[in-house]
Amino acid sequence: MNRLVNIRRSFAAAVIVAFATFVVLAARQLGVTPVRRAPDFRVFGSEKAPLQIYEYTDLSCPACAAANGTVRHLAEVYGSDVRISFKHYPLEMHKWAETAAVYADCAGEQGKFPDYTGMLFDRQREWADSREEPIIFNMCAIQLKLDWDRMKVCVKNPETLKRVRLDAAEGGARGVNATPTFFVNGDKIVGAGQLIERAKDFDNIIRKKKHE
Amino acid sequence: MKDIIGVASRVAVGGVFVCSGAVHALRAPLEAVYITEAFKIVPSFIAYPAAYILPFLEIYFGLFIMLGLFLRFSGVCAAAALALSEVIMCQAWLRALPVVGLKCFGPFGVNSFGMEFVQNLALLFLLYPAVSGGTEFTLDSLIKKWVMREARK
Repeated sequence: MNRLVNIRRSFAAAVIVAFATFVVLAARQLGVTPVRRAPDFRVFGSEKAPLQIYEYTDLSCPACAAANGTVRHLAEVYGSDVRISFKHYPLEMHKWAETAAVYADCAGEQGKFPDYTGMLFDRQREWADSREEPIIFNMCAIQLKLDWDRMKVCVKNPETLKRVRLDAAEGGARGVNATPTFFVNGDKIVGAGQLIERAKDFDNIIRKKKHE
Repeated sequence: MKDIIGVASRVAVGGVFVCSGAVHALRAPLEAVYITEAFKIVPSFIAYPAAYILPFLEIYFGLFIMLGLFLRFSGVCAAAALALSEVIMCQAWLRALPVVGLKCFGPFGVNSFGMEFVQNLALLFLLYPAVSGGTEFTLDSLIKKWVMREARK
């Protein structure tokens, strides 16, 4: 009789294991994943803002450079109603994207993330396809009067690179495969064009959220 | 009373395991790999498969404990896992390793060593009533009764 009990228990266990595995894999497929907070220097706006935008960006990507202006414009227009969090998603095909992200974060630690990334986006053509490590990373730092020694220590710190890679891994888990990808209150939007299209609804979203 | 405490403990311990496993399984595995590597006890080639497999085991054992399936075995495995994690955390603390990102519930916050240690210890203590109380209300007991009823027929 014990054997029969164990067989039935094992069957029940197999059903539970199969069901739980299916649910987790389905959730993964749907891009359900906990989102890590971006470091404070990459977050702009109030935590309670009705519009929460996450941007997965690649500093070497021309479309991201083009989208940067759109994002800044949205931030100006919607002010305290929008919160923008930047996440790195350096694409493998862009040789210096990951390095640029690391430098940008180090500039961010000195309070200059938007200025530094803005400069890198503006002068993207000068460095994105460079064969050697672009000197522009240094030049931008000098122009912004950043502490270069502190910056070098930060760039060499493996934790900085880990943070960038974790962003990219998180993006992958959320179904990001192109840049720039935005998540507006959880809804995925790819490219600045779609973001502008979606922005037509922003007033409604803000109004609704404020009434909730 | 013992039954109520037993069932409540099972739901609590099992629930924590399931929630924690789900968060770990759904986040990017690289995060778990980095955390595992930070403890400096296993090489990277073990950290990678562990990051993929362990969250699923957490969920399975959590469900088994909650539902009371293979209850003693699941309880022993959960206790071993909790005790092991306490040891791993203690060695990291003693070696002053810079471990960040300790958490059960991902986006809901990051725990300090002390907090994580106390939390695991509490779960470890809850495992005893979870395994010993309210055993009437378990799948193990249901299946046993079902088989006995069939045998009587």
